[in-house]
Amino acid sequence: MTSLETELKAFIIETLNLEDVQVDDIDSTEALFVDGLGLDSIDALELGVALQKKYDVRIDAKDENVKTHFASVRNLATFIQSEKGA
Amino acid sequence: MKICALIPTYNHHTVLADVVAKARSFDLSVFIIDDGSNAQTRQVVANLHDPDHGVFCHRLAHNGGKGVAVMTGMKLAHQAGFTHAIQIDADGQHDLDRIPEMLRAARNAPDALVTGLPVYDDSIPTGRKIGRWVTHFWVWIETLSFAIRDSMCGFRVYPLAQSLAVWRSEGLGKKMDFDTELMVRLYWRGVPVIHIPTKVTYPDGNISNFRMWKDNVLISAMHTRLVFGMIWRLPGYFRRGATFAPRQRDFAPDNPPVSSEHWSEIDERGMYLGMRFLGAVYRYFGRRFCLAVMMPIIFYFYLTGKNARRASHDFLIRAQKAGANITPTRMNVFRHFMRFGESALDKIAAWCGKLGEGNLDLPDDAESLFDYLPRDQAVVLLVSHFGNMELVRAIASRDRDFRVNVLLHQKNAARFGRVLRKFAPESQVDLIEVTDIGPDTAIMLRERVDRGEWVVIAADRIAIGARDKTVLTPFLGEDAQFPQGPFILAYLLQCPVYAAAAWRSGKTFRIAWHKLADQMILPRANRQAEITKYASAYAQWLEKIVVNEPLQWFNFYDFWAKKKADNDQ
Repeated sequence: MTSLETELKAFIIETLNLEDVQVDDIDSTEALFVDGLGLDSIDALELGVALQKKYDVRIDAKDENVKTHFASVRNLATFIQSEKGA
Repeated sequence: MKICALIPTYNHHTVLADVVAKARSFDLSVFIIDDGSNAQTRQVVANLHDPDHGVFCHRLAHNGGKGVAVMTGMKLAHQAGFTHAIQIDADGQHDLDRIPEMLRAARNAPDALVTGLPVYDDSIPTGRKIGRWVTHFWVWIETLSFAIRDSMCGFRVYPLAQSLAVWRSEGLGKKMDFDTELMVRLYWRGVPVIHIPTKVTYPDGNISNFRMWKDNVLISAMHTRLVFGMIWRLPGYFRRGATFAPRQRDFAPDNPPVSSEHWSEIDERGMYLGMRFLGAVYRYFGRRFCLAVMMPIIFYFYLTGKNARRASHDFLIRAQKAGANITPTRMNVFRHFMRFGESALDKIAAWCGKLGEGNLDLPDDAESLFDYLPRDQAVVLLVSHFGNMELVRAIASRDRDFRVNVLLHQKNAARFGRVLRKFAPESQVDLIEVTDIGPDTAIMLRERVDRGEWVVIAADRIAIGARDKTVLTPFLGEDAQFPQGPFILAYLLQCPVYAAAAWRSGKTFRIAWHKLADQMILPRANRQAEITKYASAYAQWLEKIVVNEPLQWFNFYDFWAKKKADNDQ
């Protein structure tokens, strides 16, 4: 597990106020929305806004890949790293 | 996609066989519709009938007019499995060598109406030349655009399904008024028009079926219908950001529409001129004149708009029960319709600068709109299809230091925004298209809110094709569906949320607002319940205002419908 992934998990828990969830409860490859962690579209928006603020990544809803980026913590970490590297 | 040829004829037979042969040479099946012709033509048509070689003849017992003949042909062709028909006149007026080019255009844009754009030689009679220009002028007004460059040439490739839908639901002129009316109505439905230049000649000895007096009366009546139709569609036109229908220009990427940018620019110019024109009529002839002109128009739509009439009546019953001083009579339903027309007029007047802050009747003797709505503080305004909030927008936006972001569900909002900027260059309104509120929209709006800008969004209608979920809350005595989207957005923006409305009261406009929250809170655990709470507060506030001015409630559909995702119009 990379440190960014761990950081993201903590960030998600903090941003969305997930009271009963610990960092270790989240599997990096688990689906964030609907099935796995069970987040909904409002969470997605909140998370998107917060991520943009913290990591300065541009999230464009029209971008087909957004769904992929947000699918799991690992994807999100990859996305943020690629944005930073660019 | 299957294209056939469609040839209506009324007493034209001299060149009919040549026209048919030419169409056959392009491998087209041919439908000939004999519109109750005389014995001689009838015989010629009968001889041409040859289903084995793709020529089908159909005779109408009585002369019904070109419209009837063409629509009958379209119906037959559609039943026979064709998707498009190229209409060709029987008298040899059309330049049949253009057929391949027209077919190609139609194949590249199956949703479009492909029409010949006549390039006349000197054989055209002067009277008709003038008539054509009169028609051009009216069509520009009826479509508020220059997208249609010729509306009379019968040489066209029609998309059959769309054309038959117009015929079934709206009816059409049956005679010489047919070609123009069908084209304008197709345009209103979002069917783009593609022009192919073509030569038209008036051959010697040509018997024209155009009757100077009778047909001009018919054509005038048609333009009256269409202008009324245009005015009726205006509110939707502006809501959608200056289009009559969602455009169907979804061409495959390898088939881009020819010079589309160019045409959209012309559209914008046409729209600008259209608004200028209506603004000028308002200024020179006054509000009373405009209202008097509108009266018969509105009456026409009152008579024909059964669903809207029913919705209005139903609404008035509910409003009365809720304490409004109104009886649900036919007269009041008509007045309800009239008020709707009036509000469209007010919007045009406001954007043309004919209504200003002087027309606002501000509470507490305030001198300016900003006395009580601080301009330097970001707020979310939840508005509704009641009264005329746009007027406040129009007036407020002339203030330089003040920016408003208006969220619209409709496409092409950006285009409409550019036209508005031309009208009032000093205005600071951004129309933002949101079909779906995603992170990018939310982030962008958050940035604007951080700069102290306002965000305006309608909270009484559910967006088309909405992923937008709804909540049920009582409104005028029964549960109605309200969209969740505006409340979720207001939550994400983390700034004060107001419900606001403005409405006409005699000669002035009144404004009301109500703070729903300094900052909305939607805890994860019971989000749905919290949203419902806010929606209820909004609905209750709205109800009080609507009960005072029931005739300015402009949702002419079943607002209390049980489960309907796309009841935006």
